[in-house]
Amino acid sequence: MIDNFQTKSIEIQNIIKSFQLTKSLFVSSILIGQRSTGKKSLIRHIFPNAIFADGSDQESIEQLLEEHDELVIFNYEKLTNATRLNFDNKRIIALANYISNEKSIDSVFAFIYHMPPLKDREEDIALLVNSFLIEAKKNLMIKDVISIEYKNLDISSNIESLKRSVYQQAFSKSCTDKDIEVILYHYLHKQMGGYSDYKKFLPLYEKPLIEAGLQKYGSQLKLSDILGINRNTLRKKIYELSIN
Amino acid sequence: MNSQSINFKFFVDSDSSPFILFDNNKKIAYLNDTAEILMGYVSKTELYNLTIAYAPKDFGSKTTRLELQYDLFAFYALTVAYEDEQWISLRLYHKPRLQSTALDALDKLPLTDINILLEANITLFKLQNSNNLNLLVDQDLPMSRLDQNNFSKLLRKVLHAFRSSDNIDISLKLLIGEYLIIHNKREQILQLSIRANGRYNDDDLEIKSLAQQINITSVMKEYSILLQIPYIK
Repeated sequence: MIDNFQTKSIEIQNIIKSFQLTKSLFVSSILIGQRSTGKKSLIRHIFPNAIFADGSDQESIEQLLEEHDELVIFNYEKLTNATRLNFDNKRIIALANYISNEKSIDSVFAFIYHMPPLKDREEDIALLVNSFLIEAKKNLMIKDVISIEYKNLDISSNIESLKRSVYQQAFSKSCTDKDIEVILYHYLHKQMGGYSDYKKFLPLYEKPLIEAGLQKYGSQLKLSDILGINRNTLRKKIYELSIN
Repeated sequence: MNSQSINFKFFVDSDSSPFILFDNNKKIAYLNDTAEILMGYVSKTELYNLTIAYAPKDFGSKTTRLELQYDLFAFYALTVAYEDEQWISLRLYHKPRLQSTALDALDKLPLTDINILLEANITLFKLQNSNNLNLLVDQDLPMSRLDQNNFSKLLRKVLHAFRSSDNIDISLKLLIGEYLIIHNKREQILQLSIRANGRYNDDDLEIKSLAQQINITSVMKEYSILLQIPYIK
């Protein structure tokens, strides 16, 4: 979770502008967008003192609506009976990961916004990566300079997968022999217990070794010299390990 | 009572409902002030044909319930009267602009800067559309009482009707010399006009109904939508 919402996306900047204009008015708005696109952070940034309530709990939402004039309802799509809620003369901001009934949304909300997914706002990726990298280095106590490989970042689940892939890169690029040993120890300890486990788990070491070597030296001939193994043995390993 | 000496013309002139007297040559012999304004929106021939179509079969008068709309003028009934072959009159009955049931709630509505609502809706519209918008508004309009949520919904629908128009002209102004009487008080009228080279009309019924709910008069034309908003301070 990023506390201060950051964006370079013009589309999101316009959403913020519209929310800023209406933040003192009693209107109902909904922000619809895929999971983990930063909807909640954006609203928290604009309405820092608002009460946030989970749409999974209809009863609690009904109770809060009786007591408050301003309410943020996240997981709006999970409400069991949205039509029972009375938003008259209230400031309601609903957040939904998807909408199942467009007509009902259209009749309830005055302002309907669509939060673009991360794949449509590439300008935000560098901003988020930088922020997550600072956070990862602080949390993992990494002192080294880390350069992120953008082509290996995962944005399939928006900010959630992006953050995970930044942490993965930060850790993998800074870990020591001891860290790798510890990781492997725990992994093998958990997974071991089958038949011919030596043969089964050897690729855990061999595959990254050959992949990294091929990437670094470019040719099998050179790599076989570096690794000190026969060229035919290397070729056979590449085939067995399905390395491209 | 001797009515010969009473100047009826003054009273008919002062009537807010249009009154027109035709002679037997289809010419207008007399029309009151309201009818004069109405003539700016509908032709003499159309009104004459209407008069003849709804005239009673014999001498006398006949009132018919009929929905009529000429620009911003909306009528719910008309009376046609004649007592000889020479003169025939038409009187049209205004449809109330405000719903009496919703009038009491007007005073309880929050004071609102209508320009903010308009700007927020235009920002939202621009998120999905790249049309060229020309805005002419009076930034110094004082706050007025408005149902903020329903008015925003109405604006969203109205702007959506122009989603494919190249150039959209939006103007917001106070009407000079036109008033609404609400709770015995004269209230001004704010007019929002959105005009372009064409528009969609698929949401027209919804726009009309939304506008009615919040006492706004809406007029939908081929190239424009006009909203007249009670300006309650």
